[in-house]
Amino acid sequence: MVGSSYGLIGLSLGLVYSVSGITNFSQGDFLVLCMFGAYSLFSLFGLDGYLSVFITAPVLIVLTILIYKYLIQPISGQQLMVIQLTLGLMFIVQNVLLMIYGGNYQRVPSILDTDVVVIGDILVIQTSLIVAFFVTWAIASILFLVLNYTDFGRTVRAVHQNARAAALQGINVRFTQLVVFSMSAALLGIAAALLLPSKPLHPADGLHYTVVGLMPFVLGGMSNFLGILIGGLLIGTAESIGSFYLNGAMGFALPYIIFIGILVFRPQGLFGSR
Amino acid sequence: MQSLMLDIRGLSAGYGELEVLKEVSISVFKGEMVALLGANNVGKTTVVNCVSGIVKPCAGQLFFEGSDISRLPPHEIAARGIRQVPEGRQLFPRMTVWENLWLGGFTRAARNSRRERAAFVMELFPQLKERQKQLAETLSGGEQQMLAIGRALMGGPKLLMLDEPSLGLSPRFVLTIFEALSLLQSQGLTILLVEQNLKLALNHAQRCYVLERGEIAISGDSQDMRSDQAVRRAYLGA
Repeated sequence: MVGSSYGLIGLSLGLVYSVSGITNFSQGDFLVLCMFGAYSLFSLFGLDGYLSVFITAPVLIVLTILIYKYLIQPISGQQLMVIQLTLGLMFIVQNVLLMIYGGNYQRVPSILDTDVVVIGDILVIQTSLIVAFFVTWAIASILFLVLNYTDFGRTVRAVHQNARAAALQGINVRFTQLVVFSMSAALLGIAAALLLPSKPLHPADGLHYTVVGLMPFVLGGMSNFLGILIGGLLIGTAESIGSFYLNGAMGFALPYIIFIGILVFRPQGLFGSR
Repeated sequence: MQSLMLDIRGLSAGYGELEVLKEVSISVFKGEMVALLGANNVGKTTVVNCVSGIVKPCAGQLFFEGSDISRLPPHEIAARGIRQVPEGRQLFPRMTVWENLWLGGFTRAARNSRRERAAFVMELFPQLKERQKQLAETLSGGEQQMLAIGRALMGGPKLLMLDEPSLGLSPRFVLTIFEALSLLQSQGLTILLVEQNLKLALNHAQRCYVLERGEIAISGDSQDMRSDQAVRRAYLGA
């Protein structure tokens, strides 16, 4: 169930990639940054974890635009440099968070903290996960509608399919990219809020979330958004099963195994083309 | 007195270390069709891409209707009324014919007349009307070329640049396309045609330039050039 939020992270990566070919390896760290933002908002103002998204998401959007516009877009022609840049950002964000918040685990309580929903005699599911599930699919539906039925959505698809031709039709490719990056940041902010409840928070979590977002992203074929969401569910389920049956660090091995297994047989991911 | 629409002066351009164009100068007057000829890979596409803003010139200037467009980004040049039908068509493959056309009318200036222009394009190329809902990548080569031209026309261009429109097309499609181009020209459109097909160019364009080794080797009225041996040599030669 938590996989749907992983799918959201994957989507945010997919959005950026589909319109610019860039993969942001610090994505998870920005997610954690958002979570810590929520934590601070909570400890300073008592603001509930879910509500804080209305502040953290816009801040993240602005931050994302600044980073992409001034740091990344100027060198977007050089793949290697961009990768280095995002990896560098990963370290910077992690260390900034460590400096500000220290190396202990934090919790951000929310109204739904340990609520569970009991179905019959068998199933006990955390309410927060159900919320995450529905929110994710609602967002995905909106995204689908926007991409396929609005003028702007068509513009995004055009840039994705042939950026040069798009420019020749008068489309401002750079600007379109920035808008899509903002959408990606919004998704990330929402994912942060959805993942927050009842999870202990640590500045070094970023890498885990990056990985857990990258896997659905790649499995889904990198530009196939439905595929990414399904990949998210797959990874999330694998993680849950893995940590249930195996102990500690080994628990997370299962998603990795499945991920590598799938790629060996289908390098383009479950749903990718090419 | 004809007005000068496109004024390329001393254009030098290249890719990295490679200098492709050396001080190329071309003039296109309003209402005429000018052809840019030359052998494979001699730099014809580079000229067109410089005008479109995709390639930045190293030296020289580009004037459109009197304004300097040398440093403008591609989307602004398109907005000013210069449209390119790229080599190899460059459609949006997984979008329908209709969506491709619709995107051609993206600019603010073109938006208001999208419906009318789309209707006009589909009258000009009836096959497009038939295949409105088909994905662009499923069209035949000739139909794709028509779509590419139609898409450019959706922008209501003042200057239309076509890069090798006849490449890979059957004679039937070539005929259809050039008939359409003649019609458009008679309606006031200015056309810059990049072509490898010498005969087509000389038959349809009023004036021609021949690009050889990055420089304009020959230029003049098509009529005069038809019998000129130098043209043939430049074309078929090294």
